[in-house]
Amino acid sequence: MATREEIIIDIQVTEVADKLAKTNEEIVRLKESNEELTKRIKNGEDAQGKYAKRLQENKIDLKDLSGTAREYEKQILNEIKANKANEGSLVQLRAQLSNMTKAYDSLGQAERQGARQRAFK
Amino acid sequence: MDFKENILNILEKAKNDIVANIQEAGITASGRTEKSLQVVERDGHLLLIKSEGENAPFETLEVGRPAGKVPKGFNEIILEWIRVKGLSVTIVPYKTNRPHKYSEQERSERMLAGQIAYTIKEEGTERSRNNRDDIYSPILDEAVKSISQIAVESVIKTIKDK
Repeated sequence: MATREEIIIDIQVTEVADKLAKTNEEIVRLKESNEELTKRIKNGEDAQGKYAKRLQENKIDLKDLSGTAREYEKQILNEIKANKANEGSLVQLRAQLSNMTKAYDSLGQAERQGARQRAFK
Repeated sequence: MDFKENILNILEKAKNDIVANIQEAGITASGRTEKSLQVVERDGHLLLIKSEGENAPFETLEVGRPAGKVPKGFNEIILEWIRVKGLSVTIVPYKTNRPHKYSEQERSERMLAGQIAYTIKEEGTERSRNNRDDIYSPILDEAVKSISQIAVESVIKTIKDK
């Protein structure tokens, strides 16, 4: 009675969520770097203006990255909003997992089979 | 602990809880179904699966097996199940002294296997007539709820951190 593989729960970590996480890591890194640069400038360690230049570059990068992260968030949040209407459905479960799942299909199938059996009783 | 690790922990806990429920409910036989449950990471998906093999379909844990077509060699499958489950069999003695193909023990086991196989084919398993919903349903509901929670928290935290 060999059986095939059955997927019981499937969580998909989507590219958008992954990209958002990476972007946020980069933002945190830049912010830390800026704090360090500001400290050095304040301590008078920037005679040649090297740190000030880097700080300026970082600020531009930070602005870009913040914009990108906002876009990713918007995508995630929009999907949650779009799916809210179907509360309690599989689609809503996926939405609750904020883009990260296409879960539960196989369980749904099992439940449907259970319902069919109950109907035959 | 990062997001992915959190989800893997929840899936692992769900797996262990299902195994505990199977054992507690006394519906385990060979233990193959319990062993077949696995948490895996594959192509960007975090999965709780029942791997392929010589084990029953996952949903039969709660909904049993309906009446109908049975696989080839079903009597032998049931015979194997009787043996691994360690069911006690009423010995049916032979009435003649001529040589017999099977021992009395084996003949009795085969008779019981035949009766069980026939009942399952005609009426389905007892569990298919009296479904239960306490082996995996509440655990999976809880797991999905927990994962939803940490996913939403993760998005909120991401927004707050900036």
